[in-house]
Amino acid sequence: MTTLEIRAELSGIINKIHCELGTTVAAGDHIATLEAMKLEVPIESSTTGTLLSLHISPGEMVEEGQLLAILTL
Amino acid sequence: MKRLLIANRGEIACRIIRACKTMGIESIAIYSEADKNALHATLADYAICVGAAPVNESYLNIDAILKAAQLTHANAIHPGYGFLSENASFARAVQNAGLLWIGPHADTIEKMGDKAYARALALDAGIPVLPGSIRIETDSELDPFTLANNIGYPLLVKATGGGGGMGMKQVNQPEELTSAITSAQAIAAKSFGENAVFLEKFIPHARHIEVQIFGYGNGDAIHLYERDCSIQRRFQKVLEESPAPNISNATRQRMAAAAVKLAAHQRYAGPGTVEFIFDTQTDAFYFLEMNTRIQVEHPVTEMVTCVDLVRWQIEQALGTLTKTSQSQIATHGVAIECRLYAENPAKHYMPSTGKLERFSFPAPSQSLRVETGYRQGDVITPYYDPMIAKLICWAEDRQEAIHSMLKALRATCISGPKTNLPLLINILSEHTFMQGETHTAFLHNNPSLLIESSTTTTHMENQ
Repeated sequence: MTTLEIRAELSGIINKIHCELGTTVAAGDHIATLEAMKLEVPIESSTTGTLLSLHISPGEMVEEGQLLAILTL
Repeated sequence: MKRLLIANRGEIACRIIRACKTMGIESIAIYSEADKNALHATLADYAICVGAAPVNESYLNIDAILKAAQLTHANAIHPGYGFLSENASFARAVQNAGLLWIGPHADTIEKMGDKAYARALALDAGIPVLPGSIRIETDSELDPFTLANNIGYPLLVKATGGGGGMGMKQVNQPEELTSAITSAQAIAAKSFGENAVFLEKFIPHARHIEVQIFGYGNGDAIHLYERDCSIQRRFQKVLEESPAPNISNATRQRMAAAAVKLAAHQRYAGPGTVEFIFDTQTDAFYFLEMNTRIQVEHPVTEMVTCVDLVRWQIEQALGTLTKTSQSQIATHGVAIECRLYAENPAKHYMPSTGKLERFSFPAPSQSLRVETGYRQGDVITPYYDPMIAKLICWAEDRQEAIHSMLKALRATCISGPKTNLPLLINILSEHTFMQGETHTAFLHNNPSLLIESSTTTTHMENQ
């Protein structure tokens, strides 16, 4: 099973999660939205895959490089 | 008034605390749990926690702020800029709680906060506005294509409750119109609690010029000249200056007169800003919006006019303000402000957080102001605005002001989060900027400025 880790590009607060576990996502789909300094930054899937695990919850602060989700390809 | 509560944080809270100290007024700072050790909370005479780090739980939490005012026996509230400064419900709640509100009348805040309504008010006062539409609600039966055709492309879709570029979409051709309206309405509903948008003509070669006014609340108002705020990123200002370069005195006077007319028409009280879009190809100007608060860039005006706007604002609320006539307002020299943002210009201005390992500035003087709410060792969190400091330089002429600002920026040393310091140096060194050829697409058209040049990097390493 090939998996892909999705990590935070910047530190911020998770304000919304758009996908449930098991959802199939395409490249460019938004998995969650992160908010930092009044700016909303979408966390996008870089490829087609299925959401295997989610390591974040709404309102949580994440650090740059932190693991957010894992996709199976 | 004995005790003033400042419903804000960062540099503006520090600025207001400083004004209080010179006026013999006790200051009360509010802070969130993330700001327990923040500079503004340390500088004030009293400091009180109003909630958790997220703004909705602290700096936007009206109930908690009013409770804090009550607990600390505050007599007045100054909202600063941003946060609740243009929230009419807050202004009313403050007054209903028996406190002095340092700001214009709540009704004025409300009217000017609705951008479509503000356009109508400006038209009514005889101020030129851009061709535009009436409000378009989500359930509207208006045909947006007819409205758009009457205006012409390119145009902007704007949220009526918008600000800071939020909910704003540029539309270059009819095919893009429907999706732009839907998307702007969605952002507006989420950010401003109402989904109405309107269309407005987009001027591609524009400058953003605003006039600082001060109203006495009885239909009398004066202006304190203009500021050019054309250097922007994501519709947010990066650098401001006064006077606006390369504009005839006649045009400056006409813009100032229009701004005063609008302020007088509203019986406006206190400092306010009337923003205009200036068409560089025709020299025509159009009303954009009116900001009913003290602005980030107010020190630019303070330096060229020698007026303390925050002091005036507080004195007006106290009833001790001596009226100044227009003829007493003169500007002298040139002032430039640079906003330091914790962000990475080379990476789409992505916010950057972390500990300020180094954070030092040249010593302030008569001709250099350094306004910040942070100290070395403080942590920049993702919860609040990316602006971490502003530098304001004054000199006899523009060339000299640019030179002093460059000198000040080169003597500034920041490490930890990424900042736009190299970008600011690049802007001020750019040939067309030095010629005074500012316009709103300046950064967009000069992408090479966003990349840290080897000279600025080397220089900063040498600090």
